[in-house]
This record gives sequence, C-alpha cells and structure tokens, in this order.
Amino acid sequence: MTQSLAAFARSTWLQYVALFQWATPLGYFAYKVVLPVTQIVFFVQLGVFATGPGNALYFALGNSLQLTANSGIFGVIATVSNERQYGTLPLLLGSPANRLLTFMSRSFVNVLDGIVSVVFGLVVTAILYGLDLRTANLPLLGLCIVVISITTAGLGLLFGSLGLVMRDSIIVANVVYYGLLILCGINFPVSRLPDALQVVAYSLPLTRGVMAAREAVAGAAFGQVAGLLAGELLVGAVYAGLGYALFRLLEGWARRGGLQEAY
Amino acid sequence: MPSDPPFRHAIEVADLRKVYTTTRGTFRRTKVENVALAGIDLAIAPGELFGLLGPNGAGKTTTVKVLTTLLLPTSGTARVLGHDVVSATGDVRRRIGFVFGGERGLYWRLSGYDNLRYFADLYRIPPQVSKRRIGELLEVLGLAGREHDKVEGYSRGMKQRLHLARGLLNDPDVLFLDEPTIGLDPVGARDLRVLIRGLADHGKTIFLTTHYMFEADAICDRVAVIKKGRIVAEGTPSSIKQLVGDIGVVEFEVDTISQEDIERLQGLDTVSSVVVTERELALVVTIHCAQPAEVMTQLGRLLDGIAFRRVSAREATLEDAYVELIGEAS
Ligand SMILES: Nc1ncnc2c1ncn2[C@@H]1O[C@H](COP(=O)(O)OP(=O)(O)OP(=O)(O)O)[C@@H](O)[C@H]1O
Ligand SMILES: [Mg+2]
Repeated sequence: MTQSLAAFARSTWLQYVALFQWATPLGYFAYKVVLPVTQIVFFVQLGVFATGPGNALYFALGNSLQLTANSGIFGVIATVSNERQYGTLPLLLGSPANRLLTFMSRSFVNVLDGIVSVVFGLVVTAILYGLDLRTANLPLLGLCIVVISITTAGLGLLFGSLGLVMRDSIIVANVVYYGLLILCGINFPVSRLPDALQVVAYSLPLTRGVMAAREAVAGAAFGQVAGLLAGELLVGAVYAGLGYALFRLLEGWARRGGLQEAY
Repeated sequence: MPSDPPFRHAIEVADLRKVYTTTRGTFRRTKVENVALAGIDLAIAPGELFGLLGPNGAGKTTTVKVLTTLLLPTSGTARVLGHDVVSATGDVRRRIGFVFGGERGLYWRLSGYDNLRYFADLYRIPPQVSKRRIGELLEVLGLAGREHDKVEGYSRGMKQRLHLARGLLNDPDVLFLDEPTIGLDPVGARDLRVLIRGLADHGKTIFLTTHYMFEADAICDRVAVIKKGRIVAEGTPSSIKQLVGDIGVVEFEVDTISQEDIERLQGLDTVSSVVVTERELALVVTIHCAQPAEVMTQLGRLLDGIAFRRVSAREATLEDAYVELIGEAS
C-alpha cells in the first residue's frame, strides 16, 4: 500500500515535470509570481478606475481566487494534451496501466499547485490592498481554496482530452481561462450578467466556490456555504467525468485507426 | 501471475485484415478505404527472431500495431502468447514490449532514468525489481553514466537505446521492434543488432520490421516479405534467396548505356533481370542471372565500344532476392 502510494506520488510528479511546459525554475517564477501579480494589479486598477476605490478588495480577492485556473486550466490541459506532442500516447495506451488512475493523476500536482497559487495571490492582496483576514473564517476559506483548485482541474481535464485531437489546445486554454475570468464572478457579481450567461456561469467551476470564499472572508460559517461548495464539487466532478469519458472515447477511436497524428 | 492458455506459437496470425477508413475533403466529405493488410497469416515460434520486410506503406507498422493491441483489425485473428489481441488486451500488454523507431515517444524534459522509472510505474513493476532492472538495462545499453542527463540532450542513438530499455522494462516474453535501427550510424546499428540477437538467444521472441535486407539476413531466423498488405514470401533468409532461383549477380559501372544495350543484356538466356541505378558519378548496372561467370565473358562482346569498369560477380544477397520479389509481385 505505501509502496503503491509512493509509486503514485512519484509518477504524478514525473508526469507533471515531463508534460508541463513551465516546470523550470525560471518559467515557474514568471508563471507563478510575475503573471499573478500583474493580473491582480491590472484588474484592480481597471476596476477602481471604473467603479471607484471602495471596490479594490473585491477585485483583488476575485483575481487571487481565479489564479487557481492557472494550474487547473493551463497546467492540466498542458499535462494531458502534451502527450500528443511527445508521441508518448501509444506507450500509455499500450501499457496495462489503469486508465482512470493515470488520467486523473495528471491533474494531481496541478491541484496542489493551484492551492499554492491562490495562497500566494492572497498574500499579494494582503500586502498591496490591505486584505484583512482577522475576521475571516480561515479553515473555511482554506476548504474553499482546495475545492476550487479541484474543480477547475476537472474542467481542465475535459479540455485536456480535447487537446489530444486538437492542435491548438493552448488557444483553447486561453479562451477557457478568460471565459472563467469574465463569467465566474471574479470582477463583478454573476447577478450582473444577462440571464442566459448566468446559466452558463452556474454550470462552470469557480462561480459557486468564489462566492463561498468571499463569504468565508467575511466570516461566514460552514453551514452557510455548504450548498455552494457541494454544487461546486458536483460541477467539477461532472467535467472531470466528461473528460475521462472523452479520453476513453479517443482511445477507442485511436484503436480503430484514427488519431493518427498523436501516434 | 495469470496463466496463459496453451499455445504453440508465440505469435499467431490468421487471415488478418485491416482497412483504414479516412475521410477526404472539408466540405464534400468522401470516405476513402485504404486496405493496409489484405489477409495475412503468420506463425512465429517462441524464441524466434522474426523479420517482416517490405517497402514503404506495405503494412509493417500496421501489423505491429495490431499485434501490440494499439489497433483493432478489421477481420481475422491475432494471438500473442495464446491471448487474443482484441479481447485479452490486459494479458497481452503485460507480457509484451514494443519500440517504434524514431525519436518520439520519450519525455524529453526528464532524464533517461526518470523516463524509465515512469514507465516502470505504468507497468506496476515493484520498486525493488524496477530499480535493479533499470540499472541492468542502462548498463547493457551503454547509457550508464548519462542516465541522469535530460533526454533532450541525448543523441539519436542514445534515444533509440533508451527506447529499447523502455521496451524491456517489464522483461517481456515477446518484443516488437518497428525499424529499430532507423537513423543510427553503422556502428550503433550493428551494436543494436548484436544486442537484439542476444535477446533472442536468451529466449525472447522478437518481431522486427526493417528496410535493411542485410540486417534481416544477419540476425533473423526467419523473414516474411510483405507487399501491399500481402505476404509474398516467407522462410529463412537463405530459403528466400533460393526462391528467386539459383541466381548470381554481375555488376559493373558505365558512364552511359543505351536502351538497346540493356535489351541485348536482357536477351541472354540466363539473365533474369537488368537494373540500372544511378550512383554518384556513374551508372551501376546490376544483372541477375543464373551463370554469372558466363555473363562476364559475354560482356565484352555485347557492350562493344562501351567503357565499363569495376565488373564484379557475386552471390545473390537477400536484398537482390527482395528486389526481385517486390518487383515481381506488382
Ligand atoms: N491511421 C491511418 N489511417 C489511414 N491510413 C493509414 C493509417 N496508418 C497507415 N495507413 C496506411 O496503411 C498502409 C500501410 O501503412 P504502414 O504504416 O503499415 O506501412 P509500413 O509498411 O509500416 O511503411 P513504412 O515502411 O513506410 O513504415 C499505408 O498505405 C498507409 O498510408
Ligand atoms: Mg512503418
């Protein structure tokens, strides 16, 4: 048991380094420090300019939480779809490895990475914009961060599978990333969206989780946001499930003679 | 350890067909059927080193992919160690190794060592076993000392050897090698051939494809020639050579040669074919014939006034037989 756990930990880590483009110290720094700070500052300035200085914290908090999509979307999509670029997919498909475990494990380190990103974003927000967490429900906020890191990775798994057949998965990743930025209550409440887009927003990860996290920062108790978090997890699970189903579909298709380029 | 059903042949293929269906065009999509395997039969004994030869597009890779469970056949059956490659994928996958030629299929950002560890985990090889085996393989394949360098810095030959190490991680009973020496320098290719022969001598069944006839001649116990999805000849390398008759080869170089001259050569009783190939500064004329010595004595008379040089006569090689077979069956 401990042995297979160790093997699992090792291979997840190796997959992450092998398949995720930014896994070099400099790349990681640019990606995990420069980009988040830039994004937070940019949206806060824009928001303050548009709505007044009183809302700075709203924007800063939203963008910090959305940083999870850095790992959950970009990271997971790269980790799954780069297999195509390396030509290693046939090796995976020709091995007796458990498909579900292998597939899901591609998101594992990215989830941890997402948690780290958000914590970093919150620290930046505290320093630059005076985020005060003394009245916050910290354990609950922690839970929210874990949950959104998992659920964004679930969405990433779906688009990662797609990336196995599409050449430009990084463009898709960008679209998804900015889609989340606009739709999930990061820079303005979902209630300001047109009705149709609200439906979309609630079928995406992050939306409920970010709401719950904002409540947690305001000091809410677990019971007040349990529904939101459950919904958030469900949404994430649905996407991860769809991603796995698509992966198996592609495996079958490849066996019938498709997916030629990935081979 | 799951037990195998009884089997006589390590690999057994019966009337195997593969038709690829692809669509063409963006707007008016039409289906195109491409028959890659038109019904092949193979029976390969345990411990045999078997070579599948054939021109580009003949169906070699397709055969390997079907046998390694990566591709479903359209019809027919294929068994590896008694397990059906369509339905018993798990049993097949655990017991085979496969290597496709070329540089793809490795994680370039990881070290050679980490690549092997990763794949060992995929095959769920217990850590103590994999640690020892990786060490041995690195040693045998001449990668020891460089195993902690990233693969992106490896030469092509090193990548190829790493591929082979990966294919051997699970100590497979049957090893599939699709053009294993492609792109290697002559010395590297020879070393690899020696290694492959050694594996077969230690009891592994090896199924290899290649374009190099001398390679097949040098190491294979048995070969089959595939052309347009059909097996056109099968047997030991020497029996294949005999298939095309008791032929010898006469070769010489000229600067130019006319069509009449070629026809005159072809007109000789014992000559079965005349092939002219361009080589750097000269044309090389290759004559397949029953009695090379006699053709040699006639050359002067037939090619009156033509300056020919470097005349040589030799026994037919597997390549000669192959060229004849591939030409014939068209
Ligand atoms: N995924 C695919 N979809 C459609 N056609 C394919 C596919 N893979 C191979 N083919 C076709 O099947 C035929 C056999 O191809 P295959 O790759 O098996 O040949 P090969 O003998 O390995 O050739 P080479 O020596 O060039 O590697 C070719 O006509 C090829 O174009
Ligand atoms: Mg091929």
